[in-house]
Amino acid sequence: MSYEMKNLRKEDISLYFYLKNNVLMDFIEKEDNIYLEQIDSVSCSEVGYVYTALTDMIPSPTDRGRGWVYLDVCSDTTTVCNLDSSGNELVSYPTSSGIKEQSNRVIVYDVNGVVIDENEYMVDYIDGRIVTSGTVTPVSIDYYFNYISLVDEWAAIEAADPPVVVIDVMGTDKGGYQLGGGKRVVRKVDIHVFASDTAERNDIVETIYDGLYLKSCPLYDFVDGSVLEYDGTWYGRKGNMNKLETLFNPGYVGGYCGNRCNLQFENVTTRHISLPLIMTQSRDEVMLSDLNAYRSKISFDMVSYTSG
Amino acid sequence: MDKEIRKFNTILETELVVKLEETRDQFIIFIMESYDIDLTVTSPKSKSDPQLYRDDFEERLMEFEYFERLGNKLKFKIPTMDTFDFRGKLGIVKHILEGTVGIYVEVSAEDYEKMFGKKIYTRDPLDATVPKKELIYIMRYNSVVRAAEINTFNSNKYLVIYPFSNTPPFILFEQGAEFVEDKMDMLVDGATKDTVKTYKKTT
Repeated sequence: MSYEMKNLRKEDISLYFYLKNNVLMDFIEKEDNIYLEQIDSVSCSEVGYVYTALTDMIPSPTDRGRGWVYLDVCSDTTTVCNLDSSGNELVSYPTSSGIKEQSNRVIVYDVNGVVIDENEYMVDYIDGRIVTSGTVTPVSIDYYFNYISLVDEWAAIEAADPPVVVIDVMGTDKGGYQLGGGKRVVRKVDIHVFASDTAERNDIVETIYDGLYLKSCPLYDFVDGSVLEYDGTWYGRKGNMNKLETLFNPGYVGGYCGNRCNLQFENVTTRHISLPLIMTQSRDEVMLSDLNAYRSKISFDMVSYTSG
Repeated sequence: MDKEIRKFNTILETELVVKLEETRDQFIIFIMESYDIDLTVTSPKSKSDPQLYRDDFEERLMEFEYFERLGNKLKFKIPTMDTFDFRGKLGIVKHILEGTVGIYVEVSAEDYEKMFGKKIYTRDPLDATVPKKELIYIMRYNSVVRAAEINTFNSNKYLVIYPFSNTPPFILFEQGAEFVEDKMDMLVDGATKDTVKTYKKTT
């Protein structure tokens, strides 16, 4: 029996992809000159040599929902862009052939401080690790990471320090939209924002609101799954170390809306959530965590059209 | 002619109000049923039982201003998390409905004093009717509290877990809004038909 991802899942992942790689692009931080340490317990010649970044950054760049940044951006913009290894912007194939793994978001150095060729190693973007075949010995690293933890389940909120943003697709309403076939699919979505303080909460809420209000995002097909493999490496990279040959093509859902369907955002509203909390001066004895103190909710309808 | 239109409109408004009042009553029943289903605590030891506030919540629901007259227009409103009056002890219900992140325990002032050797930080309680000795505080169940619990009570199960720990928001009013929306078309159709019948009888 063949199995294909259902539309709800595609829409959920498309929204996640859009928020993470477009809307929240301003919330990216950089760490420089971080030492790498080989993890002996998981390193061997068969599977490769694994190095982890020794960082004490708070929030941790590898908290759930964060991770290192795997896409480049074009200069002076926050638009996802492809760059070659020299940093030249490649604008010819970002959508027709696929998206290229970043070239200037993770830079690895050897013991002499010389940049190691990006095709010599793989990056585990989720756990913040470098995997080599043993031909090079990485010693330090510069990388960008997502400052906001973006998760899609309530239970995962506590797995990361704030700020955390939760996507909750909480309901579906399908109805006809024309004479004949086809359906208008409306998903009720809530985005919950948990921040460390009022200022941060307001910034995040405004950014997400502006990213949704009167806007739409592509509805991707994801026939080959998501951008990252289960182990955090770029799609297809394990079988081919050449980044230019492992472009990720999410594909587009077509149908009644032409070759590329969009997810339209309608009825976007936001409100802060103020709970009757008690917080003592000592964090150890806090009555309710600050995670519940600086909250907000953005509600909207996510609309798409299907032929089925 | 104008007189007849005014007459028709008056009958229509009366019919609409009657039907909207019925819808309001059904809405209240719907919300209270959802309240009973969703906000139920299974732990017998827990003192955070929303059923204690059920009657107050229902009363506040009935007191809500469902109708607003704007000139010759009649606006039918239903409560939302922003417009419902959660003041006073119903702050506890609001707290539960908004969802809570993290694991918490219910701690009395006496237990707090035993665990930490100092008086608990207090402010006006959400429910002022509860005697001070009976008040509970919702504390994050972190390593400090766990350690204090074991050291003081020789047990890691002495404190009662807050039953709405790590619980997403309850969409009580959103479900209620859908319930009303689904009825609106039929309601308007029914009111119009009844108005026509009544109008014919009176002319």
